[in-house]
Amino acid sequence: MASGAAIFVILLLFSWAGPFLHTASPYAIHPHLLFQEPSWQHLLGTDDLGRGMLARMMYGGRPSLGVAMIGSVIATLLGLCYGMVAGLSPSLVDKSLMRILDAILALPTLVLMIFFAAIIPLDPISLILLLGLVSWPGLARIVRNEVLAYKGRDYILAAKQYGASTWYLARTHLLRSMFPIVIVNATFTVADLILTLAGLSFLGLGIQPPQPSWGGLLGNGSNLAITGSWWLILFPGIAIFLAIMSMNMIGQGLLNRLEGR
Amino acid sequence: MRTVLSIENLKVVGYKGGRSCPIIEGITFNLEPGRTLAVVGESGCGKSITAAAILGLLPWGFTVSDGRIVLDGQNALSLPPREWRQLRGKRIGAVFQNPLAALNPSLPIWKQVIESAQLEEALTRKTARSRALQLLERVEVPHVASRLDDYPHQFSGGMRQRVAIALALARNPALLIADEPTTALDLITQAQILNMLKRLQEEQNLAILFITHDLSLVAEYADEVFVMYAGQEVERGSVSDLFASVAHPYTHALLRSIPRLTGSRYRLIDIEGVPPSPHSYTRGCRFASRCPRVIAACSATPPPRLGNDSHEAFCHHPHRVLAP
Repeated sequence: MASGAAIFVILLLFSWAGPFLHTASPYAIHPHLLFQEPSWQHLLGTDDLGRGMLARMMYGGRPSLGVAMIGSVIATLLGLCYGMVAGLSPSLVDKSLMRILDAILALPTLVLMIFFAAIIPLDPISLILLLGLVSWPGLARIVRNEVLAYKGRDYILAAKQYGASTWYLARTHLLRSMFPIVIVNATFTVADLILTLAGLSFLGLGIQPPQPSWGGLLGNGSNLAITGSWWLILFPGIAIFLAIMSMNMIGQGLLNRLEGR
Repeated sequence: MRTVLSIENLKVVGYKGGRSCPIIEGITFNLEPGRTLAVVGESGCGKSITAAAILGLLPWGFTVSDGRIVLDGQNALSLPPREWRQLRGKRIGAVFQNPLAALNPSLPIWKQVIESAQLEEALTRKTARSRALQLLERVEVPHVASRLDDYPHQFSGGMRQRVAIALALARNPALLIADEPTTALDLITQAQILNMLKRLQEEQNLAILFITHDLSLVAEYADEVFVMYAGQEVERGSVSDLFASVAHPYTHALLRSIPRLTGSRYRLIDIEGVPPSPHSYTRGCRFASRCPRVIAACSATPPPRLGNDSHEAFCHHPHRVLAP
C-alpha cells in the first residue's frame, strides 16, 4: 500500500509541481522540431507539431488524475446517499429504488458517455459530473446491502428505542460501520475512472485537444506510431498504467488492512 | 400501587402476501414498580413479538391491530407517534439476547454507554466521560477507568451485556425489558448478572419485564409469571401461587423438561412436536395437538378461564382445579 501511495504521490507531483521545474509550454508549436526522439534537449521527445512531450505529459496528468479523483468523490457521495435511502426506506420504496438502479446499471457506461458527448460540450467540469453520475450505482447497491445487514443489529434497535432518528442512525452507526468498504470502493473507482477517461480521450470523447490528457496523448500517438515515434505511445501508456496500478495497490492495501481489523 | 406498564388485550397481526394472520392475541398484564414479570414460553410463542410491540420495534409487516399499551398512564396507541417515541425512549430500557450484537464494534465503550443520554441532551466530552464511568461502575465492570476507551471486542460476553444494561439504565427508566438477557451466557455469569439486575431493581424501584424460556430462573428472580403458547396466554400468576399449583398442562410440561442433576438418570423430557404456525390457529385450544391430557372439548371450543386474579389458567382439563 505504501509503494502504491508513493507512486501516486509522484504522479501527482509530476502533474501539478512538474511545470514549475520544466517551464516549457505544452501548446507552443515548433515546426522545425517535429518528431524529435527523446534526448537531453527533449527529455520525452516531441510530437507531430513539435510540442514537447514532457510538458504535455505534465499538463495531461492534471485532467486525467483530477477528473478521476473528483469524479470518484461525487460517485461515492451519490452512491452512499442512494444506498442509505434505499436501505432505510420501507420495503416497497427500497424495492422500487433497487429496480431503478438495475435499469441504470443495464446502460453501458461508454454508450452513455458517447450519448452525452453528442449533446453537451466536453470540458473537465462536465466530464467530472458525467463520470461521477455514471459510476455510482455499484456502490449504491453495496451500501444498501450493508444497511440491510446492519439494520437489525441489536445496538441499532436499542438506539431506535431510545428515540434516535433515522438520520442519527445513518450518521453515527451505519456510516461508521461501512466506512472501510466505502473508502476501498472509492479508491477502486478512481482507478476505474482513470481508465474510463483514458478510453474516452483515446476515442476523442474525453478531454478535447489541444488540451493534453494521457488518454488523448495515447490516442494521438497511436495514429502516429507508424512513423516509428515509439515515445508518443510509450510514455502516456506508462503513466496510465502506473496511475491505475498505484490506485489498485492502495485499494487492495486498505482492503487487507481494514478487513484484518 | 400505580402500574408502570399495563397491556390490555394486545393483538399483533402479520401480513404476508396480502393475507393477514394473528401473531399474538388477547395479551393482558400489568407491571408495577419494583416487580419482575417473567414471560415464559417456547421459541416462536410470541414472547419477543410482545416485547417488540411495546418497544415499537415490530419487524416490517407486523402491526398492533387491537388493544392498549399503557405506559405511565398514557395509552401509547392514541399518542402521536413522536410523543410516544420520546416517552418510550425515556421510560423504557431494553436489553437483548445477543451480547455480541448489542454494541457497535466500531465505537469505544464509553461513547455507547452514554448514547441514550446523549440523544436526550448534548453533553460535553468531559461530563459524558464521567457519566459513562458512573454508569459502568453501577453495573460492576471491573477497572472501569482504564477500560473506557476499549472497544467491544476487548470485552467478554458477560461484560458486554453489563455495558448493554448500563446503556439501558442510563436515563433512569421506569421499566426494563430484558429479552432473554442471559441466554447466551454461561451459568455463573448468568447468575452474577441477574443478581446485579435484582440489586439495581431494588435501588431504583425498577419494573422488569423478563422474557425467558428458562422456568428455573423464573422461580428465583421473578415475582409473577406469564406463560405464553402460540401467541396466547395459557397461565398467569404470582410465582408462589403458580409454582405451588401448576394448572395448565403446557406449564407442567415446561417444568418437567428442566434437566435435573439429582435423582435417577433418565432421558431428558421434552414436549412432542412444535408449536403450530400462526396460519393454522384454530378455535379450540392451540396446545391440544401436543397435550397429554387432551379431551374432546379441547379442539372444539376455546378453553375457559379458570381461577382468579392471582392465578389464572385457560384450560378444559387442567392438572389442578383452580378456585375461582
